[in-house]
Amino acid sequence: MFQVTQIQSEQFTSHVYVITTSSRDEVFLIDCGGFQPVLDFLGTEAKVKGIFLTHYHYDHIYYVKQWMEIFPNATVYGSESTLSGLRNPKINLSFYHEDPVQVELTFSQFLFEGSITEIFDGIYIKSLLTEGHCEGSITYILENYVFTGDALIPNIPTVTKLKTGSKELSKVSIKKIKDSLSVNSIICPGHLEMKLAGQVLWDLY
Amino acid sequence: MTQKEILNQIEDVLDVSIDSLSIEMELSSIDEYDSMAKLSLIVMCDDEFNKKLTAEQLNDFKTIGDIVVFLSA
Repeated sequence: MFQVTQIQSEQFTSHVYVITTSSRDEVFLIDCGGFQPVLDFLGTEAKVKGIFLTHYHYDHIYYVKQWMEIFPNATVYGSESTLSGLRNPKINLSFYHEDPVQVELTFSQFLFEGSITEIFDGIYIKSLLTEGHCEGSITYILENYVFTGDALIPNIPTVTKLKTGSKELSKVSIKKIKDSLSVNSIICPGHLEMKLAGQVLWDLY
Repeated sequence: MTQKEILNQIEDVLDVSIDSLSIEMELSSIDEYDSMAKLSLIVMCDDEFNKKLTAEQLNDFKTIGDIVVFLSA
């Protein structure tokens, strides 16, 4: 069994999702735009094994360097575009923030459409390429939890006006996300609250 | 670049209809002028005009004309 906890960043409106087993000794994160509130939640015993990045915008990757410093063996997962975006503050948009993010990763793994990654024994995360908000965006599916990043924030129009955004790709991606859902699916967006699939106003898209 | 061309670029970034903006328009009256739009404008200034616009400067702007004047200077 695993648990999913949504924690808001100390600096942005974005969320970090913490995936733990009941013992909480091994942890995976979805995005890392937050740091101290997550550490406070984890306590001293937990060890972050990996970070899955939904996309490269700075409010979702801002603390990757700090996480790598305290958990140097953690693997950072994401699309090739996302992981290369960590090296370029103009691409990840942190250049326009006060403290640019430019990181070379020690352990990383590219994910693609359909990639399946085992995080705990018999528990897998599946990747869906859901571009539109920006290139290389990935939605992660962990059983009935669906981590959409900014590709789908329920009942809010998807932002496609930033660099590498595309309205057309966003429509395709939202249909792909919708088609992947079951009645029990819980959408875990990069901002705002989690919603059941049935609570989404799909006509908005 | 002409004033109309600059306005059209701003319209594109704000994702509003072409020729829907005027220099007199208050930024606060534009529904699409949200935090993402502000970030997009900052990026556009850098990418398209090679001008560094800070969030503080942008927050001081009151009208579309203020952005046009900044980009025309």
